[in-house]
Amino acid sequence: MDLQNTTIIIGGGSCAKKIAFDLLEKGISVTVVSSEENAGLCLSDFPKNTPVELLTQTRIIKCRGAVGNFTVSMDLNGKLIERNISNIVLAEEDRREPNFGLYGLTPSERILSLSQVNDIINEPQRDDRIKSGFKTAFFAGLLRETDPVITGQIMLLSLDLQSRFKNQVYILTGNLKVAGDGLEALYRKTRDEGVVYIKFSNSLPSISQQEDNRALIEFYDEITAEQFKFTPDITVVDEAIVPSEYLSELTKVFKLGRDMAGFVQSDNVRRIPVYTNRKGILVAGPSRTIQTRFDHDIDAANAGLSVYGLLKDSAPVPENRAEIDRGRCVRCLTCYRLCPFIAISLDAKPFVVGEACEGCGICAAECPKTTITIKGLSGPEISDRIVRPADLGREKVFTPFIVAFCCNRSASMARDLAVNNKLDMPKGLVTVELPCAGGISLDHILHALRKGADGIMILTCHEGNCHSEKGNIYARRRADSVLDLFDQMGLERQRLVVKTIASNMAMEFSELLTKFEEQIIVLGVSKIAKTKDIGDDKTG
Amino acid sequence: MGSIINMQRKHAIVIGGGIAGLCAALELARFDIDVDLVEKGPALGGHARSLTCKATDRCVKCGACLVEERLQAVVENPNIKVHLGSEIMEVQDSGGFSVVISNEGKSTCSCEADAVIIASGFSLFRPDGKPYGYKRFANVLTNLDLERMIRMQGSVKRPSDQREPEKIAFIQCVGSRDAKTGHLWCSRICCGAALRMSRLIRSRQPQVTISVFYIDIQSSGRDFQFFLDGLRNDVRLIRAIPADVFRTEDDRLSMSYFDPTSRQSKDEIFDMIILSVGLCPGDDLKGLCSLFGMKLSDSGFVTVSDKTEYPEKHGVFAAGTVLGPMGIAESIASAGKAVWEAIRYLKI
Repeated sequence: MDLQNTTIIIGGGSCAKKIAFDLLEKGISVTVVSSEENAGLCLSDFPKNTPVELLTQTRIIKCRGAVGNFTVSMDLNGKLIERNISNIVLAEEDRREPNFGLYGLTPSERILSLSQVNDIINEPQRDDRIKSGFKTAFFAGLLRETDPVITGQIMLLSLDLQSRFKNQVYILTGNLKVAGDGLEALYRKTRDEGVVYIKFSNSLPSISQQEDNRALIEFYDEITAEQFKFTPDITVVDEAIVPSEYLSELTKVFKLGRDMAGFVQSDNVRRIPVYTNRKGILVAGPSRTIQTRFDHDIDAANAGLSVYGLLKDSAPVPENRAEIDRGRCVRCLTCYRLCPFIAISLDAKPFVVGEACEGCGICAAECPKTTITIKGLSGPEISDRIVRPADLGREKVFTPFIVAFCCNRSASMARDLAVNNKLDMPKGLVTVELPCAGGISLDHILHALRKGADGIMILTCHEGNCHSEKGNIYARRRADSVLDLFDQMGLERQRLVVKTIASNMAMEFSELLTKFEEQIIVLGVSKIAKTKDIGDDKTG
Repeated sequence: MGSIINMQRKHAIVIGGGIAGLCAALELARFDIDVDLVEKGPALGGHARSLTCKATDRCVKCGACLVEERLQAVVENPNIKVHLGSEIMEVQDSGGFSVVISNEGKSTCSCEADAVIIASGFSLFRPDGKPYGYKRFANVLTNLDLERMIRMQGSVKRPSDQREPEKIAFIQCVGSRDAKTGHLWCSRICCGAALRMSRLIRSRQPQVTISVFYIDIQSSGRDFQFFLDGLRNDVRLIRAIPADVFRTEDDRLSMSYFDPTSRQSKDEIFDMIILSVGLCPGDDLKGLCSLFGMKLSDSGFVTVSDKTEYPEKHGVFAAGTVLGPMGIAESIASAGKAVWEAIRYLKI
């Protein structure tokens, strides 16, 4: 087995299996790691003579290294094992949480969860709680919004109950989630089969549990405007799809971003489709978000594609990566704490793992001892890019010199679009593009002032849209601290502005800059530009 | 791992230069596949490119910003040749595909391909036939018209007099979930788009009140509950399908609907009405698929038998909204899947 090219796939379900199969087909060796004893897959499931290793009852406890060279430590039923691998895919199954508590109900033979009903319908000979002729009520996102996965399952089960079990099915819902494959057609089919839908928009039913364990549902019907009392034979509560506890452990082990529900992958469009904040660590299907089986396959394909692409890319580490002057480093670990891509490793002192570094410059801008450099982002290099346009007037008509620091992923593209569309732009505008606004340092801003900028605008991605997760927030924080310096220097605070923008908003770019120019014209020539006088103009 | 690259370069055609086509072309090119990207319109980017960012300082994950970056990457990629104003005229399938591409009906070129990805997108439902006055009253717009307006001028103004509106109504599901038009599907993206758009307008023009007329609000994005709860004070949500729209003497719009709270038919005056029109199969999809010998489902979108096993036809793959309504994020993922299937098929 070529260990260097091994990919670890974490999970024991169908999504993990699909990824493993696809990668094996491409000759990539895989280690499938499942925390469960009976993972739903065994070695004989895999094609013969393929480089596959299956570890069950195994939990990941530690991960070192970076893309192409991770070392993963695992606990195999009490035994510590390690693997050297290139890439990691998280495809751990999600979990269902029945909403009994939400509706104030206690599970009983009359009050079941969606999964219980699913099991009963699949094996009615083993469990006869649902009898022919029953009235069965489903709650579908009644008190809390649900999703098309749950809604689709409810509709399929109700079809079966209605036709095979001769039940009369009622579905009580707030917003029926039909934004999934074929769900609107399925909805119509269930209605044709006699399933009754009761929708609530401005009212809610009151739900209680009777002594005979049946639910008592009292509601105002919005269509007939009548009050109803209803005690179904079986009441089925819906379920929330949530990440497993093990998945939250994994996000800590791998230092990955999460969304508000705890699924892996921060809620950031830059991570679409299966990327995380770490190169070489991908997330698919049930570990990523609430999805149908079809969507799991789409994720599995994207994970396969990404792993294959990473193994194929043999490009050397680009030059513009962070470097730490370890002689001057005082080991404050600011860089280690802040790096969104986990590209800083520690031995005696921190060092940068070039393969994982994305060159955003956050570490360099935040390092209190300025021991970190990135090619292209050093003070002198940025300073060289700030060249005052030669024909700017100061005496009779004041045309301000404006420096706009632009994030390459948003503002720079909006600028290009605005230029292409010939939109208005300040005459004295110079844009300085950077890989991320988080890389704009105090030094860069001071260089702009020294070069005689009358106004400085920092343009970042919108909050929650930063490729480096919080680069835009760091940029704003840094600008705030510079403003205190402005006070000391006697400079007007309005000369430094931070704004957010998206790559496709050319008109907004033009408006932001032209309005800023008007504001600077009112303020007049910057005090520093005046005292520096036209020195810069003479030399360059 | 250099050995996994085949010696002979492969060639693929991607039909459609929207977000799915752009992503498919880029992913193919990354594997050293030569790509001909055929776009029938005069520019790349498709529908997604006309959408506006809906952030109010905070990103609301609409994905509209993702188009620009990919578009630039496609234009700069040496493995991708872009054909604008071009359509597929003829296809011969003899193991590989020999395809004739026509450029604005003026010239033709032929190219050979080992695989084809169809990503020709959707058509918007044309609401002219609905009694909402589209094309008759200037202040009745589609959601896409509104996206363009905000992207180009930053705020909402009434097309008839360029005044800022006070009351706007969104009508959801125009041409979606609609048995009358035979559209038995939810277009998936319009609820999220209308709600995000409402919030954007309210943040920029707080004097505007917004009502959204809906059947069922569909979830969009992660943590939709939080988003919806935060929105309820800002936007009036009314569960009703409006009946019709008339213009008043003072050039406003009168809309009648059955008010679920008072349980009475009601006429209400708005300054603008936005129709959330559905996503329908592309006008040219049928012709395109018959050229490649592929079948369409009853709904008119590309069928993939159980959506797990491509292809219906060997060497032809589908990506994006040709498979059914989906948003930008889903289209990107769909393109990734199509490329992965193509790479497996081509044994690259």
